[in-house]
Amino acid sequence: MQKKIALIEPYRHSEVLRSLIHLLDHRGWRVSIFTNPTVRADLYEVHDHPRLRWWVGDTQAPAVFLQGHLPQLAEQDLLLFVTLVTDFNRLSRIDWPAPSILILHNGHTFFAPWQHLRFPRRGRDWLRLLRMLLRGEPRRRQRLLASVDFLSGPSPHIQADWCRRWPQLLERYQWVSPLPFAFYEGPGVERTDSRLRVVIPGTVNPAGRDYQLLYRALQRILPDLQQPLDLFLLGSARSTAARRVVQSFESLSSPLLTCHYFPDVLAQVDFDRHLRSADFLLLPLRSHYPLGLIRERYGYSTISGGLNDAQPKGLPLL
Amino acid sequence: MRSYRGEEDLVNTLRSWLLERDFLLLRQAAPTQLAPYSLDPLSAQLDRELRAILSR
Repeated sequence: MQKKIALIEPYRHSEVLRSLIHLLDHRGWRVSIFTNPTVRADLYEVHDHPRLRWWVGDTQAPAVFLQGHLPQLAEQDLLLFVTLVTDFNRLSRIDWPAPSILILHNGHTFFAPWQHLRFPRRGRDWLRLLRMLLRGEPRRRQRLLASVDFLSGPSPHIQADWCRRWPQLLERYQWVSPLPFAFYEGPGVERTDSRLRVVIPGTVNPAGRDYQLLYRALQRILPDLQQPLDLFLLGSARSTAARRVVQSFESLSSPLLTCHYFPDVLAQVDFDRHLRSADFLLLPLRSHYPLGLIRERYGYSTISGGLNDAQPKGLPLL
Repeated sequence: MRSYRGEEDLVNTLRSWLLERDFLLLRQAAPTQLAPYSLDPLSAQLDRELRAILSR
C-alpha cells in the first residue's frame, strides 16, 4: 500500500533531501516536501517531478510555516524532519499529527553543549553566550527532542557512539536506524583531457578545515607536477578569512596550477557540474569545528557534508 | 575515502594521486565497492525501516 511521507527541510541540507526524495520515490512513497525557496531551487532536478508535492514558504520561522500547514501534515503517514536548528520553543509546542522522526546532525550541540563550549573570543561570541544562557537554548533543544516520536543520528557509527557516551539517551528517546544521506548513482563521465581537476567541496571556512596543511603539502608536490592542475575551492569564499585562504593558494607558484574560487554561494547546478567533473575530492578537515559556540568533532559528534558529495559518483576522497 | 594523519601522510598520498594518478584505482573500484549503497538496496532498506516504524 502506498504510504505518504512529509520531508521537512526549512534550512539548507538540500543534498540530504534530494537523496531521500529519490530513495523514497523509488519505493513508491508519496513524497511531500515542506521547505523554503532556496532549497527548492537547489533541487532543480526534481522541480517538476509529477509525483512530488511541494509546500514552499518563508521558513525564517519554521514553526509558523509548519503550523500553517498542519492540515497537509495530517494527511501524511510519517513526518521526517531533515534538519531543525532554530525556533525550538515554538516547534516543541506543536502537536504533530503523524509519527515524527527528527534527524540530528550535531551531537554535542544537542546532548552535551556545556562540556563542549568553546571560550568566547569575540564580542559576537559573548553575545551568543548571553543569548544561550538567557534563552535557555539547551533546555529548548531538550524540549524539541521530547516533542518528536523518534530520533535518528547522522551515521550508524556516530549514533552508536552517542548512545555509548550518554546512555541516558537510550532510556529517554526512541531511536531509529540512521537514514541514508546519499547513495551511489553510478560512475561519472570519464574525461579525456590530461588536466587534473581536484575539488574541495563546501564553504571555504578555515575554522573547520586546515587549508594551511594542504597549502604546505601542495607547495612540496608542485615542483614535480607534470600536468596542469585545476584546484577548485567549491563553495562560497566570501568571508575575510576565506579570502585569505584563496590568496594563499593563488600565491603557490607553479605555472601548471590554476586555482578556482567563488566569491559568493554557487547555484546548485554549477556546484554539481564542477563536482561531477572532478577527478577526486579533497577534504582537509580539522578534527573539530565550531558550530556557534559549541565544538563539534568530525567522526564522533558529527559528519562532514563532503562525504555526501563524494558518494553519488563514487569520487575518491582524501 | 582515504584518510590521512599529518602532513607527511597527506604529502605521500597526494603525491601518488597527483603524480601517479593512483586515484584512478579507486575510481575503477567504486562500482563494485559502492554497489551495496546504490539506489535499489538503499531504498529497499529505507522502505523496510520506515514501514517498521509505522507498524510499531
